[in-house]
Amino acid sequence: MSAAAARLSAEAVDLRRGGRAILRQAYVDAVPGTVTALVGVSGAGKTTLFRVLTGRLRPDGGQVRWEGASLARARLARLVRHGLAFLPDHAWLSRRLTAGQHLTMAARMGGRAAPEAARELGIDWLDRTPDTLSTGERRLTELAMAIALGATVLVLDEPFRELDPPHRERLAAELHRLASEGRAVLFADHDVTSVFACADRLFGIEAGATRNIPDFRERPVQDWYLGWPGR
Amino acid sequence: MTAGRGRAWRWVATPLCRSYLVSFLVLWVVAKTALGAGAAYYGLDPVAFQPYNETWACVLELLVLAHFIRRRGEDVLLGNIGLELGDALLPFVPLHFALSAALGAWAG
Repeated sequence: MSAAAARLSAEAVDLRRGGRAILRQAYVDAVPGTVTALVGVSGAGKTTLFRVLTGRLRPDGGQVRWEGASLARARLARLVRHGLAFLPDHAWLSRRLTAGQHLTMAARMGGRAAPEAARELGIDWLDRTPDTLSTGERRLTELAMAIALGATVLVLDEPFRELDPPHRERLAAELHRLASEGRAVLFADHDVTSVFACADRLFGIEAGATRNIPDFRERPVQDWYLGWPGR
Repeated sequence: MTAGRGRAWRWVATPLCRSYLVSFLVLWVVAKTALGAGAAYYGLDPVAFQPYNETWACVLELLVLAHFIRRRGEDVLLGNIGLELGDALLPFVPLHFALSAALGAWAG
């Protein structure tokens, strides 16, 4: 897949911490209309690369591009104003606001209407706060926020983690649907099930170096990257 | 109205900003009490408006609030609604000075 088609990309990213290379010429991108997966074992650099991609961490080398234009100082808020939504792997919704208040706030800040986002994802827990929601319900609320914000690029770090099978299936279907509507969806995971469930494209990451694997569905999982357990 | 200013107005009207307002008011009371106690110790008017001390108190209040926001992961929430942490806290600066000036004027 060419970088020119990508809406958001991190290119040739280098990052060193304590004399150790965390990311090495890493590349990942999000292309409209597709679901892209970044797969690697824990500690491979998935979250770090996403932190660079979403402006939460400044790399030592390389750049972040939005629709091909280099962003000298990529910051999350700035990228969000372009159309990004970032759903990290940790809790980030306010415990003091209900799901409905989150959606209304997102819609107001994004200049769009909230109720459709809730309807779209079948959210009927608008009056509940995040700490009373299951992990699956919280993920869907986060996804609805991204829709209410009018995001065109969704970056999700381990969105399938701790989800029960029905919610995994539901989330995979939603990601696929969002991509089919023209959004670019990029998620990181270490679980192949989620990749097979919804990914159209795949990047493997091992020790901070990425590899595009265009024919991943035809190849054995062990070939995706060298760090695969048992290889 | 610029897009940035429009965003700032929309932010002030959000429930999240209101929740920070409550925390900020508590911090303002705590800081004002500490400032007043210090002033009284040195025989000064405890509620007098002193710009230098007020600036430091305001900075401290914002740092504490920013710490709690980061600890709860809400800096990501702010980022996802297009706000830098600094932008989100900006409305509280004039509020601090307005409250302190009003208290000084009322007591004086």
